[in-house]
Amino acid sequence: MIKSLLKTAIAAAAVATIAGTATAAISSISSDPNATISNLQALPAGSDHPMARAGGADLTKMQAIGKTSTGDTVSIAPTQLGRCVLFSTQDDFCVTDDQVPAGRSVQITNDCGQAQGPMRIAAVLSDGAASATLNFSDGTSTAMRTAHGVAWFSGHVPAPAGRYATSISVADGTGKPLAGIDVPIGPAGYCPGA
Amino acid sequence: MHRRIGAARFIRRNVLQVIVAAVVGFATFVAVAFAWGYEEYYGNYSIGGGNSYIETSGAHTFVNNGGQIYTNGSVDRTLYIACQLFQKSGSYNVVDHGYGICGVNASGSVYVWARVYNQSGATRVVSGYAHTS
Repeated sequence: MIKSLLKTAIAAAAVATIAGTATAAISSISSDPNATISNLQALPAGSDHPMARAGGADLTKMQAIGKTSTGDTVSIAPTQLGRCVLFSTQDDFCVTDDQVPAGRSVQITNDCGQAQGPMRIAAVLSDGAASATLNFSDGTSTAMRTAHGVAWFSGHVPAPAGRYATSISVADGTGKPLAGIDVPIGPAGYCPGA
Repeated sequence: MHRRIGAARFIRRNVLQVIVAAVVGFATFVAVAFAWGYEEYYGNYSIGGGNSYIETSGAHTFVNNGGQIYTNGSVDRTLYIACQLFQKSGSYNVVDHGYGICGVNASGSVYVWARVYNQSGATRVVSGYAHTS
């Protein structure tokens, strides 16, 4: 009887291992940042920082670099082709190295559930960048928090006739201007479908 | 022929083991393969720019919604898109915008629809994936 139970347990364990390994192989995470959706599908339930993980971030090398004005922690983690910027709110994004010099490294996250809800603009900056300034449609500007080649600003979704962010000016440690970054949406783009 | 008889004898003598192993194996496969509670892959067809969108078939307690835009089958990181989780009758509405890829998170405490918008000026294939916890 005991021998039979032992054989049963061994057989079950062996089959479970084989099935689990086979399934994990089928649904494994790719290091390709362009495989974000298939990686999301393969993540275990309850995974934290799903977008960064799906973007190929190596979270063992995650490094805190600062805080937003609303108290959220900002971190970075490398990927095979670039880096991810992670927030304690989990609204992470990843860019490839070739996106940065092309000025296509801007993420905007906003709450459209209320008028002029919270909004955050973040960007990965080109090599050598030490500071960044966010420019608005009315000609005003404000310094962005900047660290480790990442800049971020917390504000609000623009009011219908209010000012809105148009570009990011970037400078090196001596104040010399580097290539700027356009903010790719106008005021109507923040809350599509509204 | 000899091997077939051997296998048959093995199964007859180990019916319990074979059944248990099969059940455990299937359960393990299901548990690993379907990790998220409910998930929906949607879109994956061409839509115009200017905030055209794809949308899930219904509202669920989605906690994450990711989107991608493609040119000739490859993710195009030059085009801006937006991922959204929102209530059609209610105030919950969160949006994330990014080049080529976007992803937005929700609390999972409310039923929300998931959309991906094409915020570029180009007509392109857009796909989305949303899941509950």
